[in-house]
Amino acid sequence: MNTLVLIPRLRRLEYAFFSDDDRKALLESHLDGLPSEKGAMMDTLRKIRADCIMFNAGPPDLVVIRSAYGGAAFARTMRVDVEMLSRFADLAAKAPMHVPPVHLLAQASLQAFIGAVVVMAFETAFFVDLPDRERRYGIADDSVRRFGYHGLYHQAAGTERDGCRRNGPTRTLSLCLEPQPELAAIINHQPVMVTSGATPLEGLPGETTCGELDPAIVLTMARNLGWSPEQINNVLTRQSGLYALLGRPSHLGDLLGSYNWSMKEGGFPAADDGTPGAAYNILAYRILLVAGAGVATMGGLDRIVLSGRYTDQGRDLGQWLAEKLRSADADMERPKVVLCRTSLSRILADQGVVAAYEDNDPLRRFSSTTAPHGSHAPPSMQNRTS
Amino acid sequence: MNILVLNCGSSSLKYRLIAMPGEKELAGGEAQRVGPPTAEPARIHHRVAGTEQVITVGMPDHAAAFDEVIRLLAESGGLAPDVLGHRLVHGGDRFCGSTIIDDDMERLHAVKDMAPLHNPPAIGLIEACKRRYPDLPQVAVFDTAFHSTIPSYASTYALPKTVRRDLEIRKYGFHGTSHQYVVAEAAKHLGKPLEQLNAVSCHLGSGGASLCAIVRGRSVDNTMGYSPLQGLVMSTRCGDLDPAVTLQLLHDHVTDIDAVEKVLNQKSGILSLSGTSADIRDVFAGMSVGGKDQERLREIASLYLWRIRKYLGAYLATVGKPDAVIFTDTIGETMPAVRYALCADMWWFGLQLDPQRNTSPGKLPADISADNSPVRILVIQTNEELAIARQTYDLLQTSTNISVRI
Repeated sequence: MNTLVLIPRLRRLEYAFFSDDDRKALLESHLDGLPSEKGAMMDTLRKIRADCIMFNAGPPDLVVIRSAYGGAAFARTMRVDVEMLSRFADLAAKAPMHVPPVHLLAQASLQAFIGAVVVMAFETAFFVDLPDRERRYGIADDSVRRFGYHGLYHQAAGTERDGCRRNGPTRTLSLCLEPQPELAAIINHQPVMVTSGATPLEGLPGETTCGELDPAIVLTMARNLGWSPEQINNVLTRQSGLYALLGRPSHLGDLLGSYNWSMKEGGFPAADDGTPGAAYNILAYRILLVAGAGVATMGGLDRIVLSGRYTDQGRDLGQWLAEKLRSADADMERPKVVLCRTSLSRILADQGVVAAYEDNDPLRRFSSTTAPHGSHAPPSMQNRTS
Repeated sequence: MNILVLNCGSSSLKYRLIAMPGEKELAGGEAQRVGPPTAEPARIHHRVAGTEQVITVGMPDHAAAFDEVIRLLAESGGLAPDVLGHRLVHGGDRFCGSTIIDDDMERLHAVKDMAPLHNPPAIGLIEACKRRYPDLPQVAVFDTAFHSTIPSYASTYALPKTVRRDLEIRKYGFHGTSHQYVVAEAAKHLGKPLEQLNAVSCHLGSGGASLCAIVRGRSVDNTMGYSPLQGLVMSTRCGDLDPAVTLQLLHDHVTDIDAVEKVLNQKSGILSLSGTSADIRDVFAGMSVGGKDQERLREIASLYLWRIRKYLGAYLATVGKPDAVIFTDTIGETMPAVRYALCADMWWFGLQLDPQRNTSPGKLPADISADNSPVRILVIQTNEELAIARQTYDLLQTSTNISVRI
């Protein structure tokens, strides 16, 4: 079976192509710009289709589209059809930046890949059933709720077998090291806590996003600087985080990779504002705080799973966290650190296959090696289906 | 030395006259409904020698309330203060400790707007006292001062440097006077030098609440931040909130900043969730009564406890090897159910509660942890007025240029 994965970003469209017999992508690439008009989107998809054919014998059988947002309405990966698209379009008011382009991409995919099954996977789906106490805020409006925005990585992290407990539920801290990092606490395969909030702005600071902020700060910015909500939003989403702390654009991976975490066993070394040392300290401290919170929500910790594009650069950070989070009970084992190197496109491809099978789809006709229960079932699906 | 501790609210004035260094309370009370006339008359609840009297008297401002307090003290066996100790909520970056008030009021005025409800009346009262009793020494004790030791990696928000600098944005932390007091008491109770004490202090009031991480006796983090709005879900304050939600509120209110501030400070928290009461004790009481609201009340209690539990875990992870978790203030001191829920299933961090000791802690301070608990769980009654009196006394003892009438 040939699977095409489409990941729409703000200013580009990433895609990857997988065939039956290889877990590695045959092709991973991107096109700059994300069309906002249907004709242009169709042209883009035709280019991608041509690319796929060039790298493989035939066109895709399965197309998997990643959506950053699915609200409470989409709790799992869904087959795209007219009815589904209509429900999805209703979410546009809640996520105006994300939903319209993904909707257009899905619509165009149905036409561009006739004969293929098109499914949509949602980053928020994993968190739809967060417990009330975690998802709600201390405000009257109960429609404002918390989601996570790296649910696909966290779900894959939760299904990693390494470090699972033999007896009792496995308590996992899943730290997704993407440009907007996110931590989730997961008991077995159910999330009980996540750092992001109603939007990805809350939680850990990102490469350009502010993370946790006193609500009064936003009001002070409006009052004392005379900025509009749009101006403040621009500062909080594009000029904050590591960019603000370092005074220049910076990748989280570079910061993590260049730091000697073993230095920090005795505490955080002094560093001047604006230096990489100060940025490291702020980030590490915030991660330690939310990790401690996660342990409290689970009543303990078995393992820390790192995922995302900066997994390898975060290896030392993971070991440092595991040491810091050791139990006060000396008989308890030190939490294990697991690196989940599965790419987002591979996770999406696996999600798509499972969704297609769960929908009793014609994809069943394909080789049993792609079946989630088969001997070659995707690792990120094995525990979920067992 | 008789120190009159003054705690100015927006429409109230709490006071306590304490003889130092013996720490004996000579009188105390609260002036209520200070300011413009309200539906009920302004009054003072005045306590002396174990009896309380209520005096109805007009008090158009805090200076007038102070005059009445001085008069009542004089009528109570000729009591009079030698020193005034004022509580100020916010000292900003300018005040890292308590300070003796001199003729230079500019520094105080510079922090006036950092706590718009509390600082202006307190500073106004200081000025009125200076005019009325120019020879009476005055000391200002700041709630934020104890948190001036919070390291920059914990106090820095990930915002552009110019914004942080121009608006003086950083984590200041609050309830410092209370945290400082109970931490010192905990060190005494455990027989450990304060400089070696690692702890998490949980100031759980019926109104505001915050947790404080303590390393070697000093504050290293506080759940409140730039303002007292951040952190736990409180009686009418929202606590932590996605910045995008605040932006959305600003947008919805057509950038009426005052309206949004009012929503987040006075119409959120437990009040907004329950719709009827801002007091978490009412929520717990309703849960035990049963009825159709029981499940909803249980969810509110669960949300309240969950946020505290997350911060408790966060701070236990950051303080290294904690010696104690301290519960204080109205909820922390009087609600065993809250303490039980927060300490349950926390063995990973070394917490083991003794249910019997928790239910009946007896005279405070009390240790309610199980014998085998590596981390001691303490209930300690806070006494912010005494803490202010101590700080005032200590400051004057070390100061050489103030003469105090004894």
